[in-house]
Amino acid sequence: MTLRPTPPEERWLVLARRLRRSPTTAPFAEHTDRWRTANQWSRCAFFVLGLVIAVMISIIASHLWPGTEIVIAGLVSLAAAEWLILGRRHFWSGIEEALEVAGLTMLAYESWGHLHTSESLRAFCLGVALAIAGLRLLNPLFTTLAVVAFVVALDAPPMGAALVCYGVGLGALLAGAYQFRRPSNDLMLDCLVVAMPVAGYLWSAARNLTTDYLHAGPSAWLVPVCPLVFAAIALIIGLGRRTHAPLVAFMLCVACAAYDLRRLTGLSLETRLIVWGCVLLLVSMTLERFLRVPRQGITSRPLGHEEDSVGVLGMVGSAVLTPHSSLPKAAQPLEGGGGHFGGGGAGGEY
Amino acid sequence: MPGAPLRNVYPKNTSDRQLSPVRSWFFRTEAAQRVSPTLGVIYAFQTCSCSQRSAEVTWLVSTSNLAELIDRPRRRSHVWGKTMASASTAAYASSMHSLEKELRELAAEGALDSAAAARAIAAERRTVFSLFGELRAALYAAVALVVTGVGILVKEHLDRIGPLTLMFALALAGGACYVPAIRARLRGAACSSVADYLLLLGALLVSADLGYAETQFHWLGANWSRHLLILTAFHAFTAYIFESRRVLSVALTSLAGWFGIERGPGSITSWQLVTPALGLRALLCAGVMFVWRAIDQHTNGARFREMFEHFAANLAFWGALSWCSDTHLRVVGVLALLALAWVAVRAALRSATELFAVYGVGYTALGLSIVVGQVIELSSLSGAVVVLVIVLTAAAVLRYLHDRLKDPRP
Repeated sequence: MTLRPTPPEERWLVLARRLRRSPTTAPFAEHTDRWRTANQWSRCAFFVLGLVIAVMISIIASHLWPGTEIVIAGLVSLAAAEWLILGRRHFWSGIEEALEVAGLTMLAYESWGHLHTSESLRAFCLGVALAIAGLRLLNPLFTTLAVVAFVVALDAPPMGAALVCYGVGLGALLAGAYQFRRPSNDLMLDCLVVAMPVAGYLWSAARNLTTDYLHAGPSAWLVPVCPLVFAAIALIIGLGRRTHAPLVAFMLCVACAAYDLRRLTGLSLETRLIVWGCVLLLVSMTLERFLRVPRQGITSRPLGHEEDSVGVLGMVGSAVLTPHSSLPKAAQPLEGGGGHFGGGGAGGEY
Repeated sequence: MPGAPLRNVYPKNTSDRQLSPVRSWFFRTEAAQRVSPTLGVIYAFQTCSCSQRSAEVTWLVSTSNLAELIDRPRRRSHVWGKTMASASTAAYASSMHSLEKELRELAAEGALDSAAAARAIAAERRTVFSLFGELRAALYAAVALVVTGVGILVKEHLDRIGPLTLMFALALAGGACYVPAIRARLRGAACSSVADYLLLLGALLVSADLGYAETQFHWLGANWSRHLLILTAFHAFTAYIFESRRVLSVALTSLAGWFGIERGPGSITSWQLVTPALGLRALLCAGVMFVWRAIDQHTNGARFREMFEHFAANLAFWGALSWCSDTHLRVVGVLALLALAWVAVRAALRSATELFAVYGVGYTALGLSIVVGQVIELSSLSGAVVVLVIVLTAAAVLRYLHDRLKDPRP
């Protein structure tokens, strides 16, 4: 009995997911040792259901064993998660992930509740719980959240915490050069590459909401310069290695820097939005056209069929942008709605 | 076997009529059939026109003998071939895990056809690297920025710009956004992703323009909300003309707006996720969308079927949920919810789309939990036990459906 899929099993599980095949059927079954996973939507649904189960367990425990309900609920959730993993061979199914992380978080909460600890030690306890869950389940979301919790636990000044985040992001970027046997290790690093620079920017920008960069000292410029430097490094590495995570990090860092320098031009909000939107549109159009014929193997064309999730997200995205209407108070119950017209997703009334 | 040539195959059950001129010509050539698939591809590429060439890149990337194209630099004479050759010299895959070994094993076992294997191996090696996702995200962000900016501009500077100028400018900008899609349509080519996003931007600007005009001039008087119906018709027309799912999303959202369906949750604390009065509207709107879907299925080859089904399913479930949260309509709401869940699960099993199973199980669990939260105090022991049973049952049913959808029975 193994505690989790071995690296070769994990690779076959990933392959089955990429090819949209079941890991429990031939020819994958002989390589995956009966491990079962779920696809993206089911995993999300199972995760939510798992969290609800954990909450209900804690409510039941509070009635049956008042005073120790958190510990008991945590242990029960952990036991259920481990039973699902070891007994039912669930991995990356969502429900065992939710139960495991909820159980460990409850135990961490109980620990800091008894110790009357400081804020940073609480964050440390939470970080430990998330790290254990992340490493046990090979879940990149939990490991990334654990790193963020550890940065909070450092209790450093904002700029210091931001630099730590950028450092972790840079470390993950460089560690990506190492070839791991487990695809999940790459995914963990990818998550750190994407999330840490954004966390770093948010930390550093928290106290500089209205910086006037035209009259600011050099230290203030660190806030927009750091994401730009990270973006440049990520772009070079991303194109060099041909991986998506650094390119996503590049895009997010540029967006962070652009947001921070928003007051530099002195333009009004709407002008900035329209101008930068048009610039982004033109750049994307040029790039898309330039890469229609692959350049050095890099293309703007899709390589395969679109994922279901991407199609649904595109549909939702278009619906969100659509100018919406609300029912006027005096309207008849079954008549067409309408109401306050909000232009271009901006909401509000004219 | 690494480096072994992977033969191109003529797609089964495909007639020449279904293929573009380049594809049909290619499959008829001796080069394709006997000499070398690679040379056939390159020759076909050289002889086709520029517009055809750009349209065929996707097909070539996805179905040609890519591995061979990359591995044999001496044969290439085309620019594309040369660039692909230089790409092969870089060891991109060395920095990330690669599932190439497993893919070759699958191909050798016959579990993966050669074209799919070649495509997957090229992606694993990163000799072909697509920026499609990143560009699409950038395009969406650009459209969102422009549309939001226009919305604020209209709202803040209405008195300074003047209604006619504003209307004219919006119409002009919106119209300009349709040009790339119209040009592609006139060429007989499919819209590129850029053209599709510009089309979306145009549709949103037209929506803003007409909505603004209606609020200013009250052309429709008391029936002012019909401008949403006009927008629905217009966007549906353009969506069908240009085969744009995004514009159809705008059309369906406008239709929902005409039915008066609000976005946003109600009060979660009182277990009312949506306003109960909207339940019937949401269900009616979902019904209209189902009718539209049936018409689409008969007249349009069900090209937009998924769009209608996703929109209609979500609207119908939210309608039923709103009834569940209402004291007087609770029983009807639960019955409606169960009926919808049955329909959704059947649709999931029929179309092998797991998301419908998630809708059916997830919304039902949520609705029943809402009812339990209203009838029994949720923080009580009995309330928690009942919700736990509901959620455990939902998880078990979803797992069963997941396994059944993943392991199709003969």
